[in-house]
Amino acid sequence: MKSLEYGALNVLQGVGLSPGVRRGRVCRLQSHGPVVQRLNIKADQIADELKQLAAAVNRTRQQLIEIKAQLQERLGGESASVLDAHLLILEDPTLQSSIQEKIEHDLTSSERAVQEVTEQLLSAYRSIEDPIFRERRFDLEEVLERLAFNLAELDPHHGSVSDEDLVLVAPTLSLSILAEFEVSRIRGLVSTRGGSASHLTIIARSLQIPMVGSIEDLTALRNGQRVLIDGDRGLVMVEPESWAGVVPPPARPATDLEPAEWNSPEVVTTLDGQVISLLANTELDNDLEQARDAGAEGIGLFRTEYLFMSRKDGAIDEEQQYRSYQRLAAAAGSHPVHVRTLDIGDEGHPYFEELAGETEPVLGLRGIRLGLEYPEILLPQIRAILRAACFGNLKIVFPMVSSVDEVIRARSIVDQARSDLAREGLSVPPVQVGVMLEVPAAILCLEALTEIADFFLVGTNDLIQYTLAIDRNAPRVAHLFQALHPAVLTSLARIAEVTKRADRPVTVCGEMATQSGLAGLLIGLGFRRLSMNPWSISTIRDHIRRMTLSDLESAAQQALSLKTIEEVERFIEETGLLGVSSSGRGLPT
Amino acid sequence: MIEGTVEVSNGLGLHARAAAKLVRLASRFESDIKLGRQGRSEQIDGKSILGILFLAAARGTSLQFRIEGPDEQQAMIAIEELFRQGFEEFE
Repeated sequence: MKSLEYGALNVLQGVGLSPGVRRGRVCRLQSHGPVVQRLNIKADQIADELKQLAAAVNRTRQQLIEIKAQLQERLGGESASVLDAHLLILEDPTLQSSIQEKIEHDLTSSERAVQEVTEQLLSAYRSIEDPIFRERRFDLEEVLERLAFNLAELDPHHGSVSDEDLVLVAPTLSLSILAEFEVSRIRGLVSTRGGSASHLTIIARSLQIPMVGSIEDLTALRNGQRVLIDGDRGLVMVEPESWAGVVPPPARPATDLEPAEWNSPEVVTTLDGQVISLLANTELDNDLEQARDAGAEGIGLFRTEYLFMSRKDGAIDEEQQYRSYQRLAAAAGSHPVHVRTLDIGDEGHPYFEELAGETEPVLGLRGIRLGLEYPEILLPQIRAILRAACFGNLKIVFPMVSSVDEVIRARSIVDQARSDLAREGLSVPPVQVGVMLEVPAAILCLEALTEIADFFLVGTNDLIQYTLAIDRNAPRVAHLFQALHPAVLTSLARIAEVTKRADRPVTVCGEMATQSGLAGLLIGLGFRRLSMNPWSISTIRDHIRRMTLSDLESAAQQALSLKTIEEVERFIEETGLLGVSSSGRGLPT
Repeated sequence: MIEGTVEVSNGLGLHARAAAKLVRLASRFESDIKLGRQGRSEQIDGKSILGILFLAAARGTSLQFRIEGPDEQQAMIAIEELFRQGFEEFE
């Protein structure tokens, strides 16, 4: 991106809470409790005071019920259920009794009693160590503020609400604004409060309304002013007279995740100086930390199934995926992350099983086949990956490819997503597209695939399964699943040779690389990049440092000449140079 | 009076919605329902959502219930069931 030139612009930097970029007009909302007018009462006013309190509680209850109904209608039951918690807070027996006690015993006015109890509770909640629970004070604050307004018989919101393109601005914003303003009119949300776990933040993300928090000084934003809100970068810009020549500031990770300190990975070389790259296979955010700590050079394979498994009743949407990939990209920085599109296999997912329409998906509608059959699943995933690619070095990998035709179709979906995004105003940096090599057909037409794929990953588990026609889950044949079958070795040798000739990077990311003996064999066959679970990296690194490439190469050639599985296994066992104490039988679990 | 210990097993812990479910359940019983973190003396009213949220009981927290009243047995069973089901939450 070009250097920034926005000195003339008034830019407020906050924290992006919900992504997206929109323009709209500022609508300021009042959200601090009203000033308490009366402090004390006389003893004979207690009854009246309690009556006033009860009336205000009633009004507040009515409003909350109304808001709940509105949310239910507009957003569905899940979001509305938050209002159940608010109603319970209002009715809370300890809350009610401590307010009453202040009125009856200390002779304070009902307004002051509510204010004091609010303060006490908030300060107690602020001392909670767990940040998620500490944020629940916002729920409490919201309910009690509403009660205070009702006691003062004031309308909590004084914004000018005539505009269509509203950017709602307030020190604190709560879910109830979505009941008071029509969602379709809201272009953005800006507040002083941070908090990525607030209910409103979560809903704003799912409604694709950009939101920026943690802006300390809101005075620069005046009612009716035109602003641009950038939820990706956490910026609010007051629009200048003309946009000519204005370049937005560069992207920075606007997430709640710390931008990672990914130390330079350790260089791994064999005794005779051949550099071997070790990468990590991951599927969850905390795996990423492990990968980083293990000294991986990047993420060789990021499986997206877990992301999809987090919802059982359907596919997770583009926004949710985008948030995940964005965090991943930002955390990995310049290190490559190979994101594999959905490859639901035998994990069992009711929604996808229904789509695939069969009980045995090993040879069925899975991998890229499912994605091409249901573009409504693949396209949002590609869009999310492309959008997130602005934050780091993401690459797309298609699983279970068996023909050039599939890659052509898949690439056209990538192109479509890219041009859709360009039309929406987001230009995406170039993103490499690769192919998983696991189906024998793909290996047979590998030369043609190298012309259309930027890189390759080898999934050894599926490669063995499909090469040998062995379903790993079928108990009667599972023992025939053998990594050291001559056909598997021949396939691997072919992959190494063809990709090298075509100058296409290839990474072995199956479990085969995690066994020291087999890692040596893979290197001998010509592979230079191995990706594995993060906790295996240090062991494999130590083994590689004790190996000699020339020995590995001649041993691999010898192994390739053997005709039976038994011979290969015995050979691997006998040649200590390939690794330490490898049984060679089957694969580690 | 009866006592029972439950573990918070749902992913989000006793957050707003789960706390709301617990309060609504507890309020159906006449008995006095108190709870606290296991090993601590602090006792919270099981019918007060503010108290329960203040416990900040994340996943894995052990909670000790003390229930006293005419329907204490039923209350304890119902509460244990609610925790066992993880507040019917998808992980």
